Amino acid sequence: MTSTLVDNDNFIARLQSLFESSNQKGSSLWLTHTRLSYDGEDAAMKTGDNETDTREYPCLIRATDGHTQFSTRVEPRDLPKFHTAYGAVLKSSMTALRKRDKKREKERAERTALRKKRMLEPVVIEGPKRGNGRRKRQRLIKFALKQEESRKKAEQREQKKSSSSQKMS
Amino acid sequence: MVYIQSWQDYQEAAEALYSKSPNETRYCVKWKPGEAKLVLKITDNVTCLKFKTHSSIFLNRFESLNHTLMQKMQNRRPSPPQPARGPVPNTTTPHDEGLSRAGTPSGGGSSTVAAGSGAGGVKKKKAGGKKKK
Repeated sequence: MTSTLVDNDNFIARLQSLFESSNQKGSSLWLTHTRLSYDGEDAAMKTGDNETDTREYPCLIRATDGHTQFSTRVEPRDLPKFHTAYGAVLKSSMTALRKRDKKREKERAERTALRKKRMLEPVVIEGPKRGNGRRKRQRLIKFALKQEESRKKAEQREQKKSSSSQKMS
Repeated sequence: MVYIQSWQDYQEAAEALYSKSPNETRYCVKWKPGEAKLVLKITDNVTCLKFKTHSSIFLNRFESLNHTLMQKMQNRRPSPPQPARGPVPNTTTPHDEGLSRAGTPSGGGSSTVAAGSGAGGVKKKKAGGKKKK
């Protein structure tokens, strides 16, 4: 698969048609953005600049659908214009994304609330130890054990979250 | 490969990762029309952060993240030499400051522009970007 380098407008146009064909055929589409520090002949040397990285770089954008691949370089001065066109293409082609409706969100919230309730409510193990109701009692014991385990896991998850958020902040 | 659940976390982590190693990081987007799934991946070949979604709420946020990442890639607004950034603007008359601010094109390189931005805070975004590094 050979990659063709095109200019910005051409890229946008090709991207549009790629999206159209991809949406029709159902084939995936990949976009990659990276900084272009390749300076023609030599790769740009990394001088010992810690904070004073004052160079400006073009941005390389590649698009492919697994069969055809094309790319473009975006210079810093062209970024705003390019980005508006680029964003427009993306937004107009990704219309198949579901619009989150209140119903699904409500259902999800209800389900998680139910699960939480089941986990937090303590279960009372009662019933005859021998004889007729034994099975039911055994089931309650088993459920109590599982509940304990899930509670511990949830605690661990909370601790991890809080510790990682503390680390980040 | 780590999938992040919240958009806010993903955005912060992506920008942090890019600031850490801008020359090795790439940002990839995969669009699967079959199941209408959008997957974002940002990696510097050491750590990889992903985000997937089926919902269209994220389209605008995704676009703005695209924009900020591309800006970072291009490393715009190279910081001009600002030896006299601090005291100079205070001593200049407000008239001068206003002039310099008014005549500021984007990505200026003169010291007056830098002075104007430092004092006035109009170009707050640029100053913030420079200071972050």
